[in-house]
Amino acid sequence: MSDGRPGEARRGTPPRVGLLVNPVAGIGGGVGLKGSDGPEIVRRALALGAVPHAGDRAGVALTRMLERWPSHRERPRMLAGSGSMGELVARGVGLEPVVVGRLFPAGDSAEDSTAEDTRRIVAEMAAAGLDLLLVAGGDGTARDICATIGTTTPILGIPAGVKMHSAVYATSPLAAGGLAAAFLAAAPTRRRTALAEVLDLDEDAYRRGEIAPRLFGELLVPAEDRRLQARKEPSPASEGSAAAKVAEGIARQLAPGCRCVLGPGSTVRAVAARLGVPKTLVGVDVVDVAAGTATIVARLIGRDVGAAELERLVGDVPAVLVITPIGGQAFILGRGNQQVSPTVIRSVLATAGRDGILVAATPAKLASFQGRPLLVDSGDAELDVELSGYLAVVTGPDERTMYRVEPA
Amino acid sequence: MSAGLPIGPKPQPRRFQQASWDEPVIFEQSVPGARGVLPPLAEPGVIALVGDPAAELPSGIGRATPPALPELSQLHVVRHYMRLSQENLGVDLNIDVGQGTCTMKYSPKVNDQLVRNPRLADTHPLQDAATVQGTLEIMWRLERMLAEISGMDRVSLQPASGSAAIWANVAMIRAWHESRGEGDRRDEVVTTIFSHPSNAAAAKVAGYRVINLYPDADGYPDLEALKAAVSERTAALLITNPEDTGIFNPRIEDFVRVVHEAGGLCSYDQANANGLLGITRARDAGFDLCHFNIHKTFSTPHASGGPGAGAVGVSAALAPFLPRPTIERGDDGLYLDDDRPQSIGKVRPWYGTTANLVRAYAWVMSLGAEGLREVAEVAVLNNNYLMQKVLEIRGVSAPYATGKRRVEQVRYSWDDLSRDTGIHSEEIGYRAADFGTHYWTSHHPYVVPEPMTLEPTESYSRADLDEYVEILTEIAREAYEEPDVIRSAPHRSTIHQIDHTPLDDPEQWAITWRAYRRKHLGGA
Repeated sequence: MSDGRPGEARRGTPPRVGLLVNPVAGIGGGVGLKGSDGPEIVRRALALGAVPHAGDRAGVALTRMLERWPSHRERPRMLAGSGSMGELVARGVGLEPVVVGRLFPAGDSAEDSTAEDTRRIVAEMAAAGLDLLLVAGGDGTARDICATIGTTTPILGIPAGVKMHSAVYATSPLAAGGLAAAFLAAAPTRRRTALAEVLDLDEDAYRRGEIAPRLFGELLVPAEDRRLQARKEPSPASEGSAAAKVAEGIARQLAPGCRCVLGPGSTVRAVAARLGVPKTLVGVDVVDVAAGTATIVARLIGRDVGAAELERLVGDVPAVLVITPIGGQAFILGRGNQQVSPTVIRSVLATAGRDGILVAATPAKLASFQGRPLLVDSGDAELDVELSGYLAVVTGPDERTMYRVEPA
Repeated sequence: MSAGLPIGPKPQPRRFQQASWDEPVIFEQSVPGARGVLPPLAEPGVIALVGDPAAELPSGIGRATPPALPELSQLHVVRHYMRLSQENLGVDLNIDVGQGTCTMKYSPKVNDQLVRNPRLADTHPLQDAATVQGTLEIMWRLERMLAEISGMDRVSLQPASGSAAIWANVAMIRAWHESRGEGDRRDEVVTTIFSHPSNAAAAKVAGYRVINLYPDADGYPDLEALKAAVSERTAALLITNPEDTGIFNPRIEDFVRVVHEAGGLCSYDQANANGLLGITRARDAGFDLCHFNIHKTFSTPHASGGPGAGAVGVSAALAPFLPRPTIERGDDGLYLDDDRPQSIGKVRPWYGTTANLVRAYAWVMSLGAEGLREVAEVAVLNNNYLMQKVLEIRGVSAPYATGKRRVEQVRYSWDDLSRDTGIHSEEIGYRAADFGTHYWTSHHPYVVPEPMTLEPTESYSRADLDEYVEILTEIAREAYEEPDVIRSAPHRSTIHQIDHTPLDDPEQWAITWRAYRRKHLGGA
């Protein structure tokens, strides 16, 4: 394939690849601690005999990346976190990395690494310029990176954590290595990226047996069809256009003059894009759909609102609620959108009935639940029962799919 | 094997080496001035008598500029298409049970001889009906046969494909509701997620809002979801049975009753009818409309590999809305009746894909009623034999209605294998090409994870099915023991793995040579 477009990097320029290993990622998993967030848990895990394995998994991924390295590209120029945060792994596979964020001597013990180190190293690497950042970790690591560099640099996760809800992680270290090589084989202007959701659980709640994934933001990932988790469509382009189709389906259901509560999530953000209003990814926003216009015009009246403000905004006007199932857990209410209180839901039901609860999901997202019902945990058990039964989920323009809703 | 033969034993499973010609697109082979035929000029005497024949043509039909066709000699044209035909798989070359839902049965070659008969091949759609009575007679009889097979009162053979037939049914549903003054109110169509996707597509093209149903906890179409979906807005249920999972809906009569009670019509998609011929009938289950894919169930090449043909069947109440013209028998023989005021109109020019209809007629006549039922029984037997063997392969399952028999096809899942090995169904399909076969995964999105849809039809022998299973077994072994062989497959095909991106990207896809030149070669 030709890559000789004007302004494009020369063929011979070696790709710059960052490697960050969270050496304690996943350390709590094998000893039943359900996560590794925070120094206390790491110490408990090590005391229970846990062995760090994130470095080994990163080594597998790097080895595969080099095996699959395209012959027409120069070998990668590596930047790595110091010591056990990447440097040792890179040297282990014969690469000479530029070491970033030298905090402690190589070989320093794993438990000394903190989330703060992750953020500092990632920020420094991104500032130096990267074609791809490889990260071995779990949801917590993805969160830290998301908070630091946002969507400025493509990243690819090597799965090493306990909690792996974020769509930034490849299905295996081998898959990560293969995907990295394939991504970097393309000329820079031909590399395709997609946005992936970063989710994390509240670990304390998880340890109590509650699953409460939260959406934290998005990262830019290589767009590849088969090797990333939770991607069932043949290509991300299809999934992106599927979200736009769902948004069109929602837009066609909005009556002019209605007030519209937009929940968190990228599918709902596609709805906001269709309505021409900005959207906070993880917050709840409120818009008014203009009355009497041929083309839909919406006006933002509340941004990232809390429960009290929301209750005031939907108090006595006809309002609809646009929400999407969060992550792989299929929660539509009570996870990541607790601002939508029972009072708010009852207001919507009072003015618009069940038709006022518009659940938006791409066909691939619904299919990924494998027949498991959508879950509600509104905080009001009576309301949860009222909401259960079949709901017509909007899956495209003029297309809905009957799907079961049950109390969590 | 007996001693002394000069050949060794064949490897099992046998390997397949596809031809690879690196063949350019025919437009790229064009040489200015090259010609396939150089017709001589007419004799001077003829020219003097006739003058310029082109002058006789109506003004306005002549081109201002010649068409931009490739210029090649006959030999180069023949060689080009022979090469393309070798870079191929297909029912005449391999064990084609992998194209599930497509019913890739063998189409007897003798039927092609009938179609090539000049008395048929040289006729023209504009001929007077009196001069094509034989062709009309074949169509008229085929209509009656399909009416008998489906239990419906009237059949039209006009649609050019299965999807066109479904569209015709949706158009008739709309016309029927409009005739009763309910056209505006009834704007919703219900279908199931494992029904033929053309149902939802045709309904949307006709302006309906579509409601999909997922299977229930037992894997069957969900009756409770249907009850929640129907209302006074329901125009119709469009449903395939068996669905693409091969699962027969045991409550199909309840489905029809619920929709009828809500005032909707019921249309039976019979794309998957091959296991039901002579066993169940759409009308007996209460359906108002149905369709057949003539080109698969009735043994003519599947569309995309040849012209398609569809048929619609309706109850007497819907008959006035059938596409026009219809074939009617009058005092002077058969004629095409265009005077049908309630008709939905035409769904294609002329009447039906004649060649396919003649093949289908010949196929049905060669079998008879008993033979048709035997086709269905053998198709079901083959499928359940194949399922038994495939489910013994490591890493394969058949989700939904687990443990139950299927009708004529199964949508399998390699999910277990994929979780164990990281190998995906699509990659297994690529590897299958090295053994001279292939399979189709599923429509998107993949509701069944890592899908594989197999439909053995009645055409394949037990040895064929065993060979196919042997190939899948070998690939599953490779997935667990030497997965890189699969990741880099196919190794013995014309092309290796292709980048799907240009197929999804409007900036890159190129359906025509002109588009390819503009988008990829920088030409005008």
